[in-house]
Amino acid sequence: MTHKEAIFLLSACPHGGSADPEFAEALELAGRDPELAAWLADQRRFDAAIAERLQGVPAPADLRARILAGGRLSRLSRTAHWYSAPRLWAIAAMLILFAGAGAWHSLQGRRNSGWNGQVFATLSDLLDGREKFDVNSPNVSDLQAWLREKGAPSAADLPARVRALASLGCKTLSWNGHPVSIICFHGPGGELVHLAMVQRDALASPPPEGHPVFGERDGWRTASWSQGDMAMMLVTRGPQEQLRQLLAGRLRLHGGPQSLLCIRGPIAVPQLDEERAVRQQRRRFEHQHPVIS
Amino acid sequence: MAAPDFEQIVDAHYAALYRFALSLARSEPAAADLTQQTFYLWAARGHQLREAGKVKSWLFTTLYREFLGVHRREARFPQADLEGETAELPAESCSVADSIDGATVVAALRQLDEAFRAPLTLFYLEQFSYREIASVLGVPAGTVMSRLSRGKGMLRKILLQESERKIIPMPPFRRRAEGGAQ
Repeated sequence: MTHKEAIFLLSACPHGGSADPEFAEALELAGRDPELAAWLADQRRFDAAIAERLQGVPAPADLRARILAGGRLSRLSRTAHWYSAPRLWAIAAMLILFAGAGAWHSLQGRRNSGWNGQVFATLSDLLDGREKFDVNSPNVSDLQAWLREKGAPSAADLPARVRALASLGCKTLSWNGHPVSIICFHGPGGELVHLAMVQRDALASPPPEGHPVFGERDGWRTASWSQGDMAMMLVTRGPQEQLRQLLAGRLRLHGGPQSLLCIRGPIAVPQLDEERAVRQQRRRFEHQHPVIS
Repeated sequence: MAAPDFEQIVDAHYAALYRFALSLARSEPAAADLTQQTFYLWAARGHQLREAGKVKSWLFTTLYREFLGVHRREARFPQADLEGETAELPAESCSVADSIDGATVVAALRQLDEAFRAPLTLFYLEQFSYREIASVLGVPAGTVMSRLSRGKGMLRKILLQESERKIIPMPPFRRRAEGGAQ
């Protein structure tokens, strides 16, 4: 073995040493050759320093929570191989009976509820593993493109902070013959956030244009608004503050002079009074433009 | 012994996977997405893996394939001619390594061509032997040895240049000249 061959081999040897016989001859040569020994000592010190620095790079604080949330949904959407265990057949039969009864009640409930009830039911089915995504992707643009291709509702202009979230997948469903789309995201606090969309004219009472209405039902926190020909609803099991923060940019977006005239109207005031930032903006605007009042 | 559950697997590997992704991807959010997507795929398909001992290898291999699938179309750094570089290394590059931080190491790794970056990062993460690295990256073991040898040479050179660039202060007259030009 030449000096150069030994260097070549030892470059792949961990700085802490290795029992791999591949390195034995090169290490033996380094024991006899002072020049090679000096090179190896220097290389190992360099390797140890780089390894220590690289292994000290921290992962983002919320990454673990995002992975766990994503993994949970992914596992729900896969086909489980439970049928390969015959002893579970009896349990499965019982579950089918219960599920049948549950599905009947669920169907009755859905017929009697609005589109948001249908969305909640579908989200519960997704989280409980009874349904799976139509498409999975961490890229919301891919999901939007897929929804458009299928003719399902897909707003081109999503709220900026929602668009910035990593998506998980999307689901389409039908409510009273109208297509409904749901896109699921990893929320900033680790909770999942879901955006549901339906054609605005499908609703007898669509939410107000541009201004979110916040609500809570069956443990779901919601924010609903209309945007162009689309009615949209942001849904989470997490705190409502999360929805407010995700839509804060949108409120600011509509906080210019024209929108401020809307804020003063009788319909929008109750919702927007909750947004302190908007109130402050309105005061500033009134101060600067007294003629408008 | 029961197979580790999803959370245990995440806890055992997500930080190292993220560091690997960080060296491959161009930004921290992209690295986080890659890591997340890898575990997402594990949750969906990991049950197909028969040998529990190969979880780590599966995760790193999947992350690398995901990276190749999504990011290979991006502009790549040109590959330098590296023949013989490892044999004539300046001794002071080792002390340079002692004075740098993790961010500098990641930045230096990112300057390497992907062919060197991936095996070098896996080597320094100390998760795999060079044979296992070859398996993860889908290249022959000899190729990994070659890329480690040459990649280390390039990494030293980049770190040395980076160190010199930081240490040498900008002469005062040059700053005045820049200010006067505005």
